[in-house]
Amino acid sequence: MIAIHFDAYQLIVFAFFSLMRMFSAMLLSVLFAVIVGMAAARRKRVGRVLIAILDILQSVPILGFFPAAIFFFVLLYGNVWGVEMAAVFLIFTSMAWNMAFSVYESVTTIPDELLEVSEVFGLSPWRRFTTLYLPATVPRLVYNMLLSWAGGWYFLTAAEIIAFGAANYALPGLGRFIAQSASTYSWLDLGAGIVVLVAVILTIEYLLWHPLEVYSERFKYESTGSQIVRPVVGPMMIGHRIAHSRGFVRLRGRLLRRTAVLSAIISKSGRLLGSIVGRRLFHKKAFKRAVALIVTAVVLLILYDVSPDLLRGTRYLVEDTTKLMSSSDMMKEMYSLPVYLGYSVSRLAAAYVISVVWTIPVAYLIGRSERAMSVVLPFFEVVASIPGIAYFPLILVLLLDFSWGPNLASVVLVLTGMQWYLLFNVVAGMRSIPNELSEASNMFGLKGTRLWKVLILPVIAPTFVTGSITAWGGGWNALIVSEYIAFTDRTIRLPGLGGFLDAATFVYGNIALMLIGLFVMSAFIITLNSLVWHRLYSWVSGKYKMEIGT
Amino acid sequence: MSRVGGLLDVIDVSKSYAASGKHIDVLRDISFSIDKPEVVSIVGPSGCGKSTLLRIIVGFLPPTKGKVLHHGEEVKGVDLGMSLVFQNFALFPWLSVQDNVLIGLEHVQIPHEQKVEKAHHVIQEVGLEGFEEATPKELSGGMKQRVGLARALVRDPEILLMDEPFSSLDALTAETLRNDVLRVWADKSLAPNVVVMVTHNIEEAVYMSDRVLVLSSRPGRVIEDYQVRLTRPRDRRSPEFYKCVDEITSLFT
Repeated sequence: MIAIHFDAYQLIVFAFFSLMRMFSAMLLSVLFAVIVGMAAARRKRVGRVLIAILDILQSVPILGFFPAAIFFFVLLYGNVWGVEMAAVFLIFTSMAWNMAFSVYESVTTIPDELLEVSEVFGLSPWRRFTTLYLPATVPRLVYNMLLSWAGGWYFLTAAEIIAFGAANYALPGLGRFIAQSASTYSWLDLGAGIVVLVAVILTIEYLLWHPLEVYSERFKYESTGSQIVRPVVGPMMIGHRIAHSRGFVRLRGRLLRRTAVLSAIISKSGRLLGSIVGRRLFHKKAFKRAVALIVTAVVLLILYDVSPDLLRGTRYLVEDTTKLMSSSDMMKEMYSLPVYLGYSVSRLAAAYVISVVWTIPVAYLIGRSERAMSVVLPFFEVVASIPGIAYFPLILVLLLDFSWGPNLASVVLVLTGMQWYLLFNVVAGMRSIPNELSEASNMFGLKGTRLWKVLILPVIAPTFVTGSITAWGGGWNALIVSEYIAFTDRTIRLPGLGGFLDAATFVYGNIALMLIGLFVMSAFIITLNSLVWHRLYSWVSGKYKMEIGT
Repeated sequence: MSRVGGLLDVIDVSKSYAASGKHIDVLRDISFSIDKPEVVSIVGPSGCGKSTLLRIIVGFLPPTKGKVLHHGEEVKGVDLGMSLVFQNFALFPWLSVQDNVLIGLEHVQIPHEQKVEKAHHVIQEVGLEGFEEATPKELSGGMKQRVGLARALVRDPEILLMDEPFSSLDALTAETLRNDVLRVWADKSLAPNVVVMVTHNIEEAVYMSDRVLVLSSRPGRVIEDYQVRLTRPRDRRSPEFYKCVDEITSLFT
């Protein structure tokens, strides 16, 4: 095994690799979001199918698919590039869906008047794209890029840690640096790794996202009456504070000037392209046919290129199924799946209960006073911006030697994946209590449990459910990582779905076993979502949504 | 001038805030007294602190300087002899009409059956009979404000305060409700002896009140304690009515 000693140069190189993965995934996600979101919004039937698929993709824990992705990409591209692609793909899957939704929503909510205007003045499709669809999409897309980026850090770190668990697939990156430092008990390295990670996260936030967010403001059109309520997410709030600092305002001016040049170039080249292609060309049948032909040709070429690999994959699947049937070990694993599911769900439930118990009172205290708001909240925001997974190795090392240690560590990690969603959502709920309503409660002497029953719990109910849904999503992902950890001297595997999936990949290397695990997990989550959470959400939002003037 | 120990005395009340390092004076040296059953309107340009004044009277906000006396006793915290009707109704959307009205009896120590009986009586009085089990979402704006009125009345307040109670209603509904409030006030079997109302609508103030307190723009000071000496019911089209409206309007310009 490669030993990492504390080495500033290496740390920087590793940070660079991690960042590159993030940027590649973001670029892919933007392309995907714009193409798929627009397509879904423009064509109703395509839209319905795409939205249904995206909804499912959004709700399954992406990390569960990572071992399978490694397997698949390594098969296609070999060790080095395969793992790299798997990591980028994983981060992409964590970023893309909500962004695609945001494009879809933006395009479908463009006011009819604007569409009619572009009709009346006969704008060419290209002009329509640049003057209507793209600007309409920018605010929501940028906002979702911010969210995705913050979530992406979690998955990046997780991916690098998981890959490190299977020593052959180690990726150079901050997550791996942290995992490796912990597994060799190098405390200094571990601390340095976490500090660099947080520094990188905050720097990118400051230099990239906030200028971009400020820039996107100019594309917002005010729709009368209804306001888009932004969910409060940790790392972003820090950015808001920074965004108002003096140094930033100066920097922003410089950046805006630069982006102005950039957008001038883009619009000019667009116009040039438009005039070359000719505004009518888009409408011509021949042109449409040509485009369709090119698209089909590209798809066929890709299929042709990967078909041998797909065939190989299918062959592996058949072989692995036979192997699975004849191996008593693997069969035993498979029959234990219901038990594993039980274990995993109880860890999640334990972490969820802890989250609920501490976040609701804290959110109440934070929401009640402006001072707590400005002192306590920023602290939580900084803590929340560190991917919990980064300090997981540390927790594990500390708890390892107790008999319940690994189980406890697993619950703690799941907690780090759950609690912030709940906290920030409930704080937003507490802050949404209308002033008049708390005055009325005050005047009529509502106190204690009555106050909670009549005012507070109903008001926070919708954001609490939203927070719970996202918290369980985050929890499942954390669970996968927490149930299987490799150290230099030993490997710890807890009974559970995450442990099963990792073992299927890294111990048995059996694709059939892996697919069975993924199927069980996805089916369970989708059922849980549609039977419990979605129903609860529509019930709660029907009953407890606040409207002005009620 | 003000005889301390009346029904309601507002004595030298000032209010200021410190917002982002700046010191903002909202109200300055407000004094007035109410000694007899009457309807008093507080009018003034927007931002002059009329709603703040109402919230100081009812005990939601402490004044920076001065005090408010109710029967000679300083109002600190929430005074149970007063009730407030809100501009945006402030109903609990998830409670039925009856439960919303019962909130008004939260602090009153009587058996539940008696509370329900009382609530029912008030609901009848404001014309909401048959809607006890409806939720606010199912009601029109005017009916919502009737619920707000019923909730304020159910605890038998001596002083009924209203914060722009008709401004989020359409013109016809608002006029009906104004007459309902006047009827409730004139009905000696019902509690409120005094109605204090904040409004920016001068015609509304003249139509309803015995006195109109005119506030200046920020910081708000009382620039006129205008007596409306018209007999009720008032005729909005009479020359006397217009004279009052014109006199108050001229104070602003």
